[in-house]
Amino acid sequence: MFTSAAQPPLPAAQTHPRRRRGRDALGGWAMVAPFLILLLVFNLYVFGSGLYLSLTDQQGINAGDFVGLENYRDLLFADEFKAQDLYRAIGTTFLYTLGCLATQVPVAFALAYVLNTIPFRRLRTALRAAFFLPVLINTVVIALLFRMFFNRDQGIVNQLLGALGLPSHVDWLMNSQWALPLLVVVSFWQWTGFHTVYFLAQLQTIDPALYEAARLDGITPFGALLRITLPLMRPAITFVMVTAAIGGLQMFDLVFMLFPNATYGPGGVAKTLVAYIYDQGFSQQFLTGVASAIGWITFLIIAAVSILQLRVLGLGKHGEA
Amino acid sequence: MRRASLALLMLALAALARDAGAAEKRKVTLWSFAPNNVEEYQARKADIEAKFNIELDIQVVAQDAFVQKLQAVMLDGKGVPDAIEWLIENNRILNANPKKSFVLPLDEYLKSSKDFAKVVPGRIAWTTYGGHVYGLPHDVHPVVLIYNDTLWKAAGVDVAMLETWDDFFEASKKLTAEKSGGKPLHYALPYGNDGLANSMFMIWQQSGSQILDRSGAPTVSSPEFTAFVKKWLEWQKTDAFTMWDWGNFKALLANGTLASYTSPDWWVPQVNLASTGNDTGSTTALGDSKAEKAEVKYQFRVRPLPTYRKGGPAASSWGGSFMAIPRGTKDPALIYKIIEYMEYDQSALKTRWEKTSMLPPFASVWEDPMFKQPDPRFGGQKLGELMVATAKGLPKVNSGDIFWDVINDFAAQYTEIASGKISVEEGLAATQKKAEYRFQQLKRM
Repeated sequence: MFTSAAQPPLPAAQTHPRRRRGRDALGGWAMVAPFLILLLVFNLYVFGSGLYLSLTDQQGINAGDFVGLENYRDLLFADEFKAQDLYRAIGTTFLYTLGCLATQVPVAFALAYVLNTIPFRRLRTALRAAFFLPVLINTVVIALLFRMFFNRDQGIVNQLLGALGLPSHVDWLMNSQWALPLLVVVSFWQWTGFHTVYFLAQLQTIDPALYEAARLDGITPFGALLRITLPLMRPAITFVMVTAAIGGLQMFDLVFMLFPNATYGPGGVAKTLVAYIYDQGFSQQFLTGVASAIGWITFLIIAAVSILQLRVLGLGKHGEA
Repeated sequence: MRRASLALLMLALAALARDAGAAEKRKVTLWSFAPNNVEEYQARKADIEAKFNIELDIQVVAQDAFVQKLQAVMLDGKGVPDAIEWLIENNRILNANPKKSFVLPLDEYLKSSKDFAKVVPGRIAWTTYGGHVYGLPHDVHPVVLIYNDTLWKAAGVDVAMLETWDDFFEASKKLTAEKSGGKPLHYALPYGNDGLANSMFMIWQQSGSQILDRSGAPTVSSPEFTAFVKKWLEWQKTDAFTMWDWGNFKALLANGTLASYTSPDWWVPQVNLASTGNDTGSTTALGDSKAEKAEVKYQFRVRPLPTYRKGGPAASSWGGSFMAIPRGTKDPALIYKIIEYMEYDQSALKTRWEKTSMLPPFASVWEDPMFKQPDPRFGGQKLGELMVATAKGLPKVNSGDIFWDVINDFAAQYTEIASGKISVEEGLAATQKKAEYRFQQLKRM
């Protein structure tokens, strides 16, 4: 809060400090109560009921019986097909997530760095808006657009390849080698701009005087990037890395829509963890108990990855938010 | 004065009695995924309501959310519809065990039904699980071959003279010979390259190979199905196929990219734009399409499907829907009568063909003159007559609890087979292994 020195001092409180603190606390609780109620109803209750479901053999419209950890045991090792599908889905999800992080984060950073050096404000604003635009488009629409682009016979990608004299009869959507790279490409197009804007915002908070002082000390531009920019960008990098990883580990809509007939790519090679949940819970035999167990496994994986990232990237240290 | 009072009293009582009657009307809710079918029911709504003294509430529920929504209301026990109309294929709600099925077996009502006995048996097979009939089929959906006679003749092929699919794909080499940038200008058939789906699904039925045997056990690795898959892969090497493109189907026909397609009755209107230059925005199972205009450049013709082997059946079906009664519905006997009337009343059967171009599943109405009308889209050929002839020879497919799961498992293997990464035998053995596992799981439940 900013106050002017010219303003008169606030009147001193007349009430007892302890009573005032109690009233303040009550007021605080009243302010957060709506959120807490919503949190309890829509998060904690759902968490709890999901956990209970995962311990039952609920299928379809039958409530099912309590089976303890049977679903987890089947998924992790006891049931050959379920375990095989689960580990495959985990592998696919991690590969996709790593692909996204490895492509989106460095490119977004580079774009932000370049954008930040553009002296013309209007051009910078226009480019920033252009990069951000794909985020505003619904993922389903994006998936359908790219499905058209990569269509074997009518798609623009093969037409361009043909015009360049390259093989132009590639069945991108039905080749198991291309399924994951395609997902990474589409995701790159959709999300890189979002990360760029975030990086750019953080870059603009860095005091130019730091660079000025460093230049006087004879630091090279690359040295300034390493010693000034990157350390000061750590909160943004951490945020982008964590949110991008969570987004990657939760991938569903794109993989569901990009490939025809909800096949999750040829041979199901792009079936991610969340797609596997849908597959078990809603698409095949309505194994709600099993789907809930996969949901909890997914949650634990995401939590572990996020904690690991926060530890490695060191967010929260040195007073960072 | 006393007489007048008495008359007034009588009138008031009569009005009250009528209101009470109206208040007693039971509200019957029907969920349907098919907007075009609903058009038919809405047109007959007043008649249905009057006949059964009900208030009929027909709701279109999005296909993508249908089963999930039904599951949610059934688990909750509130808002469960009295009747549903749902997809025959990939339905996911029928189960050989009536306790696990979303809908009631209709066996006890069917015994006394005169109308149901007239339904084409090949159609009933799709809603029969574990010997229980769960649904009343709405349609037959026989498949015919629609082709661009102009383009095929220009390539030197008279499609009407081709007997088998082998002949067809051999002849298609002439059609696809004309190329641009290394790719054919015209393709013989569309196919999604996604396993036993669309064109492959329609032609597979002609082969007589089954996915399940009559007991519901998987037979994916049978010599018959293996031979069919090998044959299909041979055909795929001929350059005959272009991708099945739902959104651009009619445009591909109109611009000549797609020169022929296997079509059930509900998919025939895709040719309207190409054959008449005017598509009025007909409704299909996939929803409304926009009105479009195009230049008429080609003459289209229609014929029965070529056969899989010489002398084999020229029939198959694709798609379809059925009406059923969700578990927990009050007074299912009444609901059965209502849905039977909606599906099989004589007037409805004729309206169905006139309004939706869908052949009703009653052989008894197929002799009606309306099925013998020349169709201008095909140079005056009688499409209705051809559909009827095809419907009479529909092959019987063994359906069952794991049928659609096995189809999906096969699709997962198919792309690996098609790309040459694994052999047909390996792919089918893997599918069979998983199918047997599913079958065993089912028995344990």
